Formats: sequence, C-alpha cells, structure tokens
Amino acid sequence: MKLRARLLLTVFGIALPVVVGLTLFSFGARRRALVESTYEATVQRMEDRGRERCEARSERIERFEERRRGRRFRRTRRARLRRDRHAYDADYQPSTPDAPPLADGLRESLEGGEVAAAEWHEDPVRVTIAMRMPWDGPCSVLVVERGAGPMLGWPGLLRALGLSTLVAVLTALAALLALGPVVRRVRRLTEAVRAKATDGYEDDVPVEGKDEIAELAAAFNHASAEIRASLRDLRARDEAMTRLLASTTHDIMIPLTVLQGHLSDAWSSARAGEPVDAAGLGGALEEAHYLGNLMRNLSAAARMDAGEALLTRHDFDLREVVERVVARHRPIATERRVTLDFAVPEDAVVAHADSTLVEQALSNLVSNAIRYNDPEGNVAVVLEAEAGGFELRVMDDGPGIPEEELARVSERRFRGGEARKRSPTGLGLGLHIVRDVAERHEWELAFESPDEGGLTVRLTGQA
Amino acid sequence: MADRILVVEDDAKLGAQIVERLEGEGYAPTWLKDGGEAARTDPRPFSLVILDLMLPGTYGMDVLKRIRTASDVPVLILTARDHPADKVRGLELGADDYVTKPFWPEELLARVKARLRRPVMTRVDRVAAGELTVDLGARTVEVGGEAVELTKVEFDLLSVLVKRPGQAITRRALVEKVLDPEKQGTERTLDVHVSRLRKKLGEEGKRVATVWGIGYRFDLGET
Repeated sequence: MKLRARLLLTVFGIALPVVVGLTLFSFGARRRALVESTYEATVQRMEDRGRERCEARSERIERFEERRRGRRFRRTRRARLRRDRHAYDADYQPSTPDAPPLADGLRESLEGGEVAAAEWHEDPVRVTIAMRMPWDGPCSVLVVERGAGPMLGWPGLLRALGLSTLVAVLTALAALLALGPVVRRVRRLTEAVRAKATDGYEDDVPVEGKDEIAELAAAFNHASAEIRASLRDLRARDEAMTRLLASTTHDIMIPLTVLQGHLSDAWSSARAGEPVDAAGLGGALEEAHYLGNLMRNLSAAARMDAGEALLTRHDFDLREVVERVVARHRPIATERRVTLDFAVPEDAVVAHADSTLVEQALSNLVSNAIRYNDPEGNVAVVLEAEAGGFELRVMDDGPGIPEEELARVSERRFRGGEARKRSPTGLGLGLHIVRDVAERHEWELAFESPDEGGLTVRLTGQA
Repeated sequence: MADRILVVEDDAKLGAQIVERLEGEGYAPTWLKDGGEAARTDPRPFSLVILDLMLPGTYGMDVLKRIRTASDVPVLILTARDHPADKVRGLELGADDYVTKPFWPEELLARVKARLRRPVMTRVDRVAAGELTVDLGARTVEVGGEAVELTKVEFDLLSVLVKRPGQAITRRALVEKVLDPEKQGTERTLDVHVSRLRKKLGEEGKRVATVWGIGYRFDLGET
C-alpha cells in the first residue's frame, strides 16, 4: 500500500472514530451534568423549606379536592402548582390532580435505583427530570421540566459531529501535505538506488538532510560500499580463477602432449613389428604420473584456499597413508631406476587430520624425492611413533636443494602462479602444499641437508 | 584356492583393466557393471569387494550399505573425488579401504593384497626360506640342514627380521629390540652384528638386505 493511502486510511480508520467517539461522550456528559446539577439544586431547595411548602400545598389541594367532590369549585390560582414542576408520592402517584402521570420510562429508571432520570425532548430542546428525594411522603419524587440550550439537542450534536469530522479531515489533509515532500524524497532515493544498481553501485546516492530518509540513504551507501568491496573481491577471484584455469590448461596440455607423443611412438613401433622403446614408454608413465599428481595438488590447493571449513579431520592410521603413497610411486620409481623403500612401526600410528591432504603432502615429498633424484638413487620413507605423536621422514640421496631455495620454501606461503612452474629445478606447487598442510595441522616441517648429501624432509606432529 | 573378488565398476575400460590385473595376480574376479545387480548379489562367497562409488551420493553408497548388512567381507572403494568427505562417509558406512582415481594398477593391487593379507600369526615358530630355517621356539638356525651357531644378539636380530619378512625395519627399532641399552648399543654396533650374522649364514646371508636410509629387511624370495 502506498504511503499516502496508508496515512489516509490510518486517519479515517482511527482518528475519525476517536473524534466522533469523544464528541458523543462530551455530548452525553453535558446532558448528564445538566441532570445532575438540576438534581442537586432541587434537593438543596427542597431541604430549605421547599419540602414543607410542597407538602403543605399537597395537603391543601387534597382538602380542596375533598371539598370539590362535595360541591362545584372553581380552581384558584393559588391552588395550582407550577406547570413545570410536579410532585409524586413514593408510589409514583401524583400528589396534585393536575400532575400528569409519571412517564413509564422515568418511573422504571427510578425503580431501578437511580436517583435522577431524564427524558429529553426536541424542539425546543428540553428535558424532563424525575428525581427521588431522600425522604418519603407526597413530595418524595419530583419531576421538573426545564429547557436546555440548543447544543444539547440532536441538531447540536450533529453540528458538533460535523465539526469534529471537519477537524479530522483537515488533519488528514495537513498530514498528506506534510507527507508530500517525504514521499517525493523517498521516490528520488528509489530512483537513485535503481540507477546505481545498473552501474554496479559504483557511486553513492545523494544524502539530503539529517532525518531518517538521509539515514536510509547513508545506510544504502554503506551497503553498496560493502557490495563494491565484495564485487571487487569476486572479480579478483574470478580473474585469478581464469588465470588458474588458463595456466592449469597449459600445465596439463604440455605433459599430455608429451604423453601422446610417447604413446604414438610406441604404437607406431608396435604396429610396424619393431621393438617398443622402453624409455619412451617410461616417459609416458612419468607424464601420466605427473598429471595425476598435478590434479591432486590443484584439488588440494583449491580446498586449502577455500579455508579451514573444508578440512575434514578424522582419525586414521598413518602407516596406511605411507603404504598407499609408496605404492602409488613404485611404478615411477622403477621407471626412474630409483629404489623406493619404506618402514612403518608394527603398531598403528593414529593421527587426527585431513587424510587426503596429509596423503597429498607425503605424496609430494616422495614425488619430489624421486623426480629430482639421479638414476640408481634411493628414496626412503620412515614413519616412527614418538611420545604422543609421530615423525615422518622422507629421505633421498639426490642432489638436494640449494640453501637459498630451501630458505624460500620455508619463508613463503603458497602463491598461485609462480609456485606451479613445471621446471626441473623448481620446487613447484607440491612443496608449498606440504608447507600449508603442515601449518594447518600445526605439524613441524623441517628440511635438512645431511652431510652425505641428498635431502631429508621431516614432518613431526601430535597424534 | 584363489581368492574370489567382486568388482563393481560401471566403466567398461577401467573394469576390464582391473579384472585383467587381478587375474594376472592369480585372483578370481567377478565383474558386475551394474550397481543394482551388485546390491542383489550375495557378497558372502567373496573374499573382497572392489566397489566404485561412481558419482558421489549415488548407488555406490547404497550397494555398500547392502553389502555391509549381508556380510563382513572387506570392501575397497574406488572414488574419483579427492575429497575426504566421501572417503570418510564410505569408511563410516563400513568400507575398509579406499583408492582414489587416478591410480596405478600397482596401487590398487597393493591395497588388495593388504586387505587379503592373512592375519599374521602371533606365534611363528618356524620360518623357512631357501636353505635357511629358523626355529624361533628352539632358537636354532640351520642352513642346508647344518646348524649355525649364533650369538644371542645375532639370533634376536634375525628373529625380529624374519617375523616381518619383506618389511624394512629401521636401525633404531632394531637397536631398541635387540641391543642391551645397558651396554649402550648404537646403530654402528648393530651394523657390526648384522655383518657377522650375514657371514655366518653364508649365501643365505644375502636375505638380510640393507635398506638405504632405513635399516634392514629379511627377503623371503629367491636370493
């Protein structure tokens, strides 16, 4: 419902009935006040000798009536009571012969316990008031008829009602007038907000004045600033995703192309009946392995980028992770002529962690140890239970990692692009994932270059 | 008798590869391409079930539940999603192990073997490999029927290794188990004992293999 319509409805639905009700109440109150004041004045007057006069007159009239029953009698002026005031006895019987019988309505009201009952008449406006006096006798009920001002009649009431309605309508009009600028400003704000929505909430809407509408505009500006910030964030993420997708595609296309080349060569040889080049097939194996690991790493990186919420920790036996990772790397180790061995304790080594990430971290360490090793090299994975935790070592006797690169690995957090270069000496995405996984699980990660050469990566943590 | 393995895999190529590998390793696989059929199959005659969860949340999990209500056969799940939620749910539903795609056939076979590994007898009394016989109860060692005299340390060393054949054991673990801490046995001392042991076992001494970076391993196979 529009604001103005709601205002009109409110005024007419609530203000008008209230004004009319108040008018009616005041009208009734004025009538009651007249009756009450008449009653009080009458009682007062009657107590000051009025009662005696009334009762004496009644007696006189009674005697006169007795006489009149005997002979013809001309009414005397003195014998008559004033026409507008009549007395009745306790049984509501007229005390004087010229008094009209008490009206039923008045009588019932008095019988009902009221001390004063009124009956209103129009044109001219007057009221008949029946009053019970605080005594018995021929003057225990008095009926007075008196005139009242025109305001106490129905035309007066109608006029008062008309006036109050007029006041209500004028109030409504005034409110509508006052609401006009408010509505216009709200409309302007609406237009401004609509316009901003199309330009991506780039600019603020104007803030006019210091009232609630201005507060609304300011709140909108605040909200659109938030939206702008998250839009910027989303755009940045979107761009990063696009870049990631592009470079991932690139990362995948190269090994895939190499893989296709090796397979194509092998297939050509096989088809021609020539011996298949084992080195070529080994290369194919390596590329496939690289691809699988790359996908796992990207998945792990995506999960870690998304934050802690996606880490699923549960209890698992680290021995199984070691066995699994070693089994995964056996083919590539064989192909590279690198000896891969592992040792695990006899009893389970339980860790509470994200098993997929831990597996991927270990997988990266083993993968690097094999990849950067020389033919006939060795790689060993050792899991040992320590007091309240474990130690996981991946050792190799390859060329090791230069000191400065080791420092880099320990210092820098994983950052998209440059960390994922596929270069023979680069550490790649893998080690950064290892670092991230260790950090998230609050495990200690140490790179050591033993005197006899090679590299030892030590991962220690609490179970 | 060959272990019967139930393979539930809807992908024709992957299924064929798995079955071929299993057959090559001497197992007797039964391949079901349909999850519904798998759910109706009695898993009891099988020693292991390899179940592809296919798409997350689809009937793979239902099949797993059915199998679990019917028997305690080990279940190895294959999952493409590298998200632990699936694995954890699978493991909660009663799967015993999992392999994520892509996997090398060797990886799958290693898991299969690990699952079918007979429970290791806690009391192995005699281990025989080639010419070598080790009687753990009587604490005697024979090579080609001839008794070999070993010192206490040498025998303890050999027995620790033969109890876990094929598995590398770290020097540290061997030192802790075999050497007397009072005499401050070191890994260096251990190596000396191993070298003496090898010498005493002659040709069979080659079975006590040095494992780079780890320690030693007893090989059961041909030397």
